[in-house]
Amino acid sequence: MSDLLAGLVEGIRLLLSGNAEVWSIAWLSLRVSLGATMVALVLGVPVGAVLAHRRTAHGDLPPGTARTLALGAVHAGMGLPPVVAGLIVSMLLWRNGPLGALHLLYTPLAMAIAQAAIATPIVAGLTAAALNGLDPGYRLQLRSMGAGPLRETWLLLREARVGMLAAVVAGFGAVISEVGAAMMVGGNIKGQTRVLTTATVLEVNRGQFEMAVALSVVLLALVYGVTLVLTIAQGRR
Amino acid sequence: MARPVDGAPPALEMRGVRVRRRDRIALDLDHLAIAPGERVAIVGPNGAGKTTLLHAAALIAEPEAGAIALSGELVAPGSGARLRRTSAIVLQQPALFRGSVLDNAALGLRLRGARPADARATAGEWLARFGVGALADRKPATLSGGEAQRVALARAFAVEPRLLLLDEPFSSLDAASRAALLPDLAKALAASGAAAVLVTHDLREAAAFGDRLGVLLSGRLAQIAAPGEVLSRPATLEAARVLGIENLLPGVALLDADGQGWAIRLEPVNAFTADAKLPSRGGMAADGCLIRCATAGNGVIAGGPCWLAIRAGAARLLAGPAPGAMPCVVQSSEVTPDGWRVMVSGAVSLTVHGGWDGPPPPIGAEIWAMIPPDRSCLVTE
Repeated sequence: MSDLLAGLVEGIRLLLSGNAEVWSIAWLSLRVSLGATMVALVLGVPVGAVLAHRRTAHGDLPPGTARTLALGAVHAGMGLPPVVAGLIVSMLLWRNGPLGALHLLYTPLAMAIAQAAIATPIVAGLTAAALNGLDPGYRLQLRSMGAGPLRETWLLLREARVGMLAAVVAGFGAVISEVGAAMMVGGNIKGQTRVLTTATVLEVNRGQFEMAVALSVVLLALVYGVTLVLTIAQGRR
Repeated sequence: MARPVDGAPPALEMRGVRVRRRDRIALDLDHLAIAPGERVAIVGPNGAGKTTLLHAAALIAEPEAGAIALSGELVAPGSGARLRRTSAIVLQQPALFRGSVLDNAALGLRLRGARPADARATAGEWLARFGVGALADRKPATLSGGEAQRVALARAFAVEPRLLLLDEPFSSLDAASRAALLPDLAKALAASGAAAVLVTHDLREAAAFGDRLGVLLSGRLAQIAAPGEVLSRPATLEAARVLGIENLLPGVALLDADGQGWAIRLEPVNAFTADAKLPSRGGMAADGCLIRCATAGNGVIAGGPCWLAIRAGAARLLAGPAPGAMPCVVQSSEVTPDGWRVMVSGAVSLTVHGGWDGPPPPIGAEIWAMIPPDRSCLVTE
């Protein structure tokens, strides 16, 4: 208990004192995870939109077999263990792997790629769920007004904004908090690929519990800050 | 009422259109043509294919067979997207999008590529016609159900459709909002010259709306004619049920020797007299089991099973005996919004509706019931 308290105090002190190492670690965490979330949105939203039922009325045809299988795969991907994503990405990026020539392993970009692989199915699955949760009347109304498929999808996504916010928050939350993939493809190199989660694991292994708790506090503050910004932005629009 | 223009092609024509939903045929229309400016209401039970009919007309449901033409132009692969824009659909839920009321009313025009300023000007005019011009800057979430549906109607009319498709647009509104909206819709239809198809459960709404009233049963159009004709002379037993005819009395159809006059021998529920004589001037025999009817619906044959269909409001009660009236006893009585309704029981049981011109007869009273031949008809399955 005293460790926890001391850690909290230390965490707040670190935050306020402007400890350069903590801030650079936090900044890298934010950059990598926000970048991964962006990529996941760019890839996941179209996939989710395609996989959403093309429902226009009750009693319409159920989704086809191919769509059901694909959606099942996306749902399974939502539970993709970060360490598995990290393993696959690092095998692709190994020097003798298919993408080895890019020399990306143990770089922040590699971490962002691995985290995007984790977040993309989450964004895709929640996008499909958000669109399927809309009243079929919206799609029917747009189609009857002569909206093309892109316009139709865009207006429906705007209508499903609450679900879409959940997709962004869940995608970001999954990657900012994961440690397996960051460790595996980033290597936890000080000053280069060390992020809040990998740094926390390191401090725990070193027996530096105060520092570990301090880093966790920073991580929680970061997650809260980002999701709060998203929540406020969603409420305003 | 906008009259069909002579020689102009129908606003909507469907021929042999069959639409499948999952494993069943949801719609199987032989022929339906709606003249420019004509207003047609379609009633039918749940699952009869009413919404499918509208979706097929809106070119959203894909028929597996048949031909659809809008204003004389046959829908073909590739022409659907363009022809879809000649009609507009209004649903039970208004389906308003985020943005202002004005943005919503202008959406159809914007999707058709209109300049924003033009779209907003036209949309504003239609909002005003539907009495919601003052709400143009509001968010849809702040509107009442009636206001939202007015915005949805303005959005539909703003694109100047030649055909307006209405899928129970008033069913989620309270009676006062509905009563206020119907005349505005009628005015807008008259002003725009658009043809309209309304599908609804509400018989009053359907009867008041249309130049014609259709009955859709199991995906087929059982009957379509002037509302008064359909409401008083249902084509089949099922149609009679859908049309809310309270009294459907089973019996056997009889035809006069000259083949002109129909009658029915009812299956008596309370008494039986084998050889009652039919009064020459119509009405019913004294035992109440032999009743003359003016017309017979589809498929009624002499000697075959049939049902006598008569509305509770068309049957009459008399204080004393009269030729062609059935003696009976009042079994139950209830008040309705426009009068009262009693159930009387003689040789057969009958529901009779009366207006506010007099109090209902007391329960247990002995009374005479009369079924005017010109207000009843025979139907079969």
